[in-house]
Amino acid sequence: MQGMGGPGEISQVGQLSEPGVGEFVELMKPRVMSLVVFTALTAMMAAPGSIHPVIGMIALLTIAVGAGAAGALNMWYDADIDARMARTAARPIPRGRVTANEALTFGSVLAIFSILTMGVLVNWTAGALLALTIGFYLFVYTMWLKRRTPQNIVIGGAAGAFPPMIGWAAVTGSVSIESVLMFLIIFMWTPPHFWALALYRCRDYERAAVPMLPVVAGAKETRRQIWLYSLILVPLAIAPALIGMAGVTYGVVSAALGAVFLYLAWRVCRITEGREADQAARQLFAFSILYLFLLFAVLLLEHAVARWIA
Amino acid sequence: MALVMSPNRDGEQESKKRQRMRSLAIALVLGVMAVLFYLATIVHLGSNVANRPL
Repeated sequence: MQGMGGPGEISQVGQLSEPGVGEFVELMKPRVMSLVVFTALTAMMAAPGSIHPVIGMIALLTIAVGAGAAGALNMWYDADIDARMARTAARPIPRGRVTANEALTFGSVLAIFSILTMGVLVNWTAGALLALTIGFYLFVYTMWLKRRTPQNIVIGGAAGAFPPMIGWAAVTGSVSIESVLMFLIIFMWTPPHFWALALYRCRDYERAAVPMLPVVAGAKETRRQIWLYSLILVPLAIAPALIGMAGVTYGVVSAALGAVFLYLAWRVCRITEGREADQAARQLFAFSILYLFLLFAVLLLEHAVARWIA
Repeated sequence: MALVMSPNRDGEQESKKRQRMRSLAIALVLGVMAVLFYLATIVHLGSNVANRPL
């Protein structure tokens, strides 16, 4: 498919030697994968009912492999962009360690296996959601939106938000308001997170002709949008405590973290010039990762403790 | 006399080593999958395994 002239066309700088296992692991974006598995595990813990530990472990493994498959397929299609950006130039395909066709085959096989395994061994609601996640990331985000609109990461962010719904469905076999709420938290978290990064990596995206918001609409508008999305995100992140899905600890921690998030987003909004502006964006980007991790960690702990006591 | 390996030969050996590691990784993954499917089948069958009619 790579040879068919897709946007992922890249001149391979001669493969050095046979690719090793490490390069294929790199294709799966292990860091993204770990966050995906973590949010799915939290949803599995928070979901009512129970799942056999073996089936639960299989569900998590298939979610991890499915996320890895989506990562590999993304790297196959975006190899040309990756080669032009400092942040991604060292990925296996631009580096010439893995050919685009190898990445395509690897990603496709993993995607099919993970979806079928989830469907057959766990349940088909979770299997369908996993298929939707991989499909959304590849076809909607990577192929359709990423190179066309500054709303790419807003709509495409849904792909990263689905894993808690898959975890929830693995336990309950259904979709419910609680799992949709977890989806919405990650969905609303994605724009401020990526736009903070895009603010200080603007030239990178510009060089790669990726229409991120700062490239298309400018830094001022991006800062305004970061602030608006943060204003929606923080109350949403407190909502699990208000609907009885989480306890007081979560509510307090979420409110405190939300206050810090809003403060950092406000700083990004106000400091617009010089190194301080870059620094503010970097701080928000770094904190946004910690923020999401801590929200889900507290939710996970609360439910783990509740299950242990019961 | 010391044996001097040409860079080409080194590269070939490195390639073979990587290929071998990949094959081992694939074998390991297939093995783990077989075990997982076996375990999942036992879990799904549950007590019916013991209660089947003779």
